[in-house]
Amino acid sequence: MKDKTFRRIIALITAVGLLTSGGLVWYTCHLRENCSIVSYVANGR
Amino acid sequence: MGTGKKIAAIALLIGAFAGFDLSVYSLFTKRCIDTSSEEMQKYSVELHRYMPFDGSSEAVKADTDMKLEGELPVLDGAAALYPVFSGIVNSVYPEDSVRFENGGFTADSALHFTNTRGAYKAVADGDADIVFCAKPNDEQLKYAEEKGAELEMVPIGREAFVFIVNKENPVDGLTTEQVRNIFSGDITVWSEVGGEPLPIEALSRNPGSGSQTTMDKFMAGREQKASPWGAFGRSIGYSFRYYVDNMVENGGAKKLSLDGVYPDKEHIADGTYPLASTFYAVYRRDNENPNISVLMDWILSDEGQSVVEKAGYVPLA
Repeated sequence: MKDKTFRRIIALITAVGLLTSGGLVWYTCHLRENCSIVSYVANGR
Repeated sequence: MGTGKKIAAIALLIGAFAGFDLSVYSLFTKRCIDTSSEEMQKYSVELHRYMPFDGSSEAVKADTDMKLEGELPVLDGAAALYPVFSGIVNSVYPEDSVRFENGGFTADSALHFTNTRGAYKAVADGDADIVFCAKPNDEQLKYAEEKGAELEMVPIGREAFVFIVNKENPVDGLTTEQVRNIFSGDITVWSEVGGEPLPIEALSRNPGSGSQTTMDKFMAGREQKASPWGAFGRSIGYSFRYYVDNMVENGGAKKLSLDGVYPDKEHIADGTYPLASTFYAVYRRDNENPNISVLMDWILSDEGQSVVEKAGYVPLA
């Protein structure tokens, strides 16, 4: 694998990963502000 | 770097992101999934389950000959009390008085559902005639005062404020003082109250909700604090008994005894459960709708109190 290709793959995975993780964290924060305490306790630990 | 190492680095990077996402999902996201959207919040209190005049619903109905006519009072209230006020509509309102479209009640419906915060605003603004709620908080009283609304609060039944934990939590009961210490952050680990050596996640609700107003009074001036490590342990929350028992999917939650008394109907009725409380029908004193007094008299009659009881609450003695 060429170095240039490797760097592109790493950059792509990092970008997709950051977007996905950031989106998940944002979505989770939004959910936690709105979700019912009873559901939260029942679905959690 | 050789090709093998490059592939390993790529795999490691993918694994790191996947591990992070999976941890966030299983620790936090999954607990709230499907309960956040407006649509799901409506589902969570199951409006359809208690829809008046729907043969397949569980809306309660009193055995009565009374039927309201003329200017119908618009009813609204707390999520936990929806079975009561939908039962009142189901018993004494004309069938065409309830209109439900696209997942919500229309503006001209005599039955609305906006929850405690919305209901207190609606009664102060004159958008609802009678709302069914726990006592208002200071902010809600202030808003009513600003709107020139003097609120009449008529007790119509009894309920209990309860603390809940996950069913897997071995703790079955707490004392009042232990609960205050947990929610003020003085007790942060379950083992301090007879449980496992896991952090306590003390949950709280939005200001203005009926249960948060009741919790504020219960805390007697102590500020609620939550440990940042709590999410990695077991949670504790609070709500009204009926909401926990009947209105949301709660198979994984259990109610705690308080000071050795379990919050069932018997202990609410006899007053031994420490946090048994009254709920109210609330209306503006200057509301000139003649049917308000007619309806209030009926709600306090044996027939009206049978709706409270059939809906699963404890009627006034």
